[in-house]
Parts: sequence; C-alpha cells; structure tokens
Amino acid sequence: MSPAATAAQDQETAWHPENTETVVTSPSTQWCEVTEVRGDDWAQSALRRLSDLGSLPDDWDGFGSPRISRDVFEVAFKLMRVLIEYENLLPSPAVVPTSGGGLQFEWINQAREFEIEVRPDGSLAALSLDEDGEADEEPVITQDDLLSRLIWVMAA
Amino acid sequence: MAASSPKDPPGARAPTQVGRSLPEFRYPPVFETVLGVEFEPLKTWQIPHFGLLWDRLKEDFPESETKPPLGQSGPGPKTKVGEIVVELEVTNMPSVRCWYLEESGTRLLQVQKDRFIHNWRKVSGDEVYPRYEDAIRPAFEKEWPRFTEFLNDHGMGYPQVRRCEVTYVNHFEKGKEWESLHDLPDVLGVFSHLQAESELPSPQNVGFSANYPLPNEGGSLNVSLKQVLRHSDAKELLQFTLTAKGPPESSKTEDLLSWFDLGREWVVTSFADLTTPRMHSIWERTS
Repeated sequence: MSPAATAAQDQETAWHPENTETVVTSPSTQWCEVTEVRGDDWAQSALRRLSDLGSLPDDWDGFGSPRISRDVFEVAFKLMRVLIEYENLLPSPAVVPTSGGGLQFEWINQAREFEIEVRPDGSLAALSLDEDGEADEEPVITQDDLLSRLIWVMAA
Repeated sequence: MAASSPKDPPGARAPTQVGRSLPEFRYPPVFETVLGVEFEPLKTWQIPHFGLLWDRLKEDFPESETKPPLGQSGPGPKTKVGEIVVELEVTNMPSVRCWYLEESGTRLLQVQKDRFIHNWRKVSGDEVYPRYEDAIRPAFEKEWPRFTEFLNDHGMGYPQVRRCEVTYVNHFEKGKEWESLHDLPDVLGVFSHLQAESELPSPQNVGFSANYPLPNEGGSLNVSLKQVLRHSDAKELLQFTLTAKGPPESSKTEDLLSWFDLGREWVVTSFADLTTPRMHSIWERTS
C-alpha cells in the first residue's frame, strides 16, 4: 500500500493505540495501566516475553542500543490488547527487541512475513514480505490493516 | 498504607473509627491511591465546561486528556432492596471524562458530569509514598473546593454526593515479594492452605475478588488480586487492590473527608489482615 493510500485510509479508520481502551477494557478510576496475565495461550507467552524484554539493560546488543523505553512498552501493551481480542483467531507472534531501543512483533508463515515495529519514539510501522520477496512498507498501520495483514499471512 | 512520619512517636495518632490503631509500614507497596466522589449528574454541565475548568487548573495541571466516561458504580444510597428504581437519561450530548495531569506525572484529577476523582501514583517506582495524612487527603481537601467553586460560579450549584471511594492499588513485584506463584502462601494468608502437603502443582495464573459489607450499611470493601504486567516497565506483578465505597453523611466537604478517613482505615486494616507477616517484614511494619 502506498503511503498516500495509507494516509487516506488513516482519515477514517486510523488506529491510535491510546484509543484502544474504549474497545478492550472497561474504564476504571485506576490510572496506572496494566494488562492481566491469564490463560495458557500464546498471548500469555507473548506478554511474558515482553516482560523479559523489560529486563534488558542498556547496550544489550553490544552496539550501544538503549534499554526499551517506557514509551515503547506503553504502545506495545496497547497493541497486545488489540491482538488479545483476536487471540483465538491469530497465530502467535515472535516478539524481539530492535536496535535503537524499539521492539518488533513478527508473524511468519511459510514464505510470508508480517512485522510491526514499535519504534523507540513509540510510533508504529509495518512491513509485509510476500513469497517473491516483495516488501510492502507501511508508515502508518490501522487496526483494519493489522487484521487483514495477519489473515494474509495465515492464508499462505 | 499508613505509616508514621519520623516525627510521630508510636501510638501518637487519635483512635480510629474502626476501633484499632492503624498498621503502619515504612516501605508500603502502594503504587496508586484514588479518592473519588460520585454525585448526581450535573444537568447543565456541557463539553465547554471541561475547558473552562482546565483554565482554572492549568497552572497545577498543565496536561489534559479525554477519556471514555466511568459508569455508575452501583445503586444510589437511597435505593433499597426490593424497591424498583428506573432511571432513564435521554440526551444527545456525548459523555466524556477529562483527565487533568500534573507535570510530574504523579497527580491526576478526573472529572465528568457526575465524578470528581483525585489520583496519586508512582511513576519511576522509586518514589516514596507521600502518606495519606500528609499529602493525599490535603490534596483532595484543596482540589474539591476549587471544583465546587467552579460549579457555583457557573450556576450549577453544589453537587449532591451519592458515594465516596477510597482505592489503594498495591504492586507486589516478581523478584521482590515473590518469585513464582508457588510463593503465594507467603504473600497472602488466603492462600495459606496451599502450604499444607497438597498434591496441587503451582497455579499457572491467579486472581480472586471478594466483597465485604461495611458496618451500619456504610458501604462495601472490595478486595481483588490480579496477575498483571505493568505497562510502564513490563514488570510482572501481583496487583492487590482494595476499594472502599459508601455514602457520606452529607455532601459537605468535612463529611466527605470523614468518609475517606473511615474508608481508608478499612482499606489499611484489611490490607494488613490479608497479607502475611513475612510481607510485613519486607515492607518494614512499624506498628
């Protein structure tokens, strides 16, 4: 999808992580945000993986990458909340740290790949790779894009 | 949880309303506190009032965010069992809640047409809990009159308070208070039966909730335990939340504060009753 097309779609269905609260949790008087760990499915594994990444120190890769920041985790957990909504339908993601202090969710099925990167500043970017090695990079990801891309990966 | 400041000799506090001295900890695991008031919906409150109110608060609360509204937390204080109450509200106005945030990120005011809430929380996790008597209660005592004065200035009158809420959110961190769920009996007494020679393996995950009525139809105390990950640092923890809710004697500020004192006493004494001496040692219980 071209950046222009993505931007146009963004006008109508843009997903901003801070808005997911209305969809997946009941509002409460509590301020501190947490995600409950329950079940024995991939969501719990992915949440625990995020927790493990929280203990990475500065320079965890030997190339000076900082530890994953609060901003990155805040966005990653909000993304996880959306994924958990579809946990019975979606495959398990790999969750890996990226250089510079971000992290990435990856789904790979045969020759198809889909990645969502939470950049060090908390912004999101998505990348799809098809069977021919063609890459489709999306600077803005919408919730609809996210789900359609995951279905695309599963259909390989 | 309650703790004496160094200048307070042990036992210096006045007797509590629950009839026993409050337990105190030097390093309580409290991560967030909530003092909230729910009142009859303000009929003439409109969206622009959020901005007008912010104008008055902005010096102390320079950031704001819009959030979905909180629902009513239960039947009103005058509702009796068996009584049929139908409440309908017909409005075209979107319902929202506004957050006003202090620059430090440790204090928050939440306002909607039937709520006023003051939150304090840790940000880095290393902050010292500023204590109910020294900071939490005085903060509400300062901000509530600012809010009611605003309402009065805009012709909305004084809010008719339905109920008050005191919530303490405690975080028991993995690696500090516990290592695995096998350690639960060391954290909360309610799991002590698991210490016996049980054939049960450690649970994969855990959660519970209990409601206790407060005496004299004074409201209720909810206690809940959840296994969670904290978004700010991805730490795995047991979140132990105690919430007291109930109707104050009247809508006067002194009666709200009096109810907060009572609610907080129930929260603090219940916290000490439900947690184990081993945890009290970690948090350095002083009384």
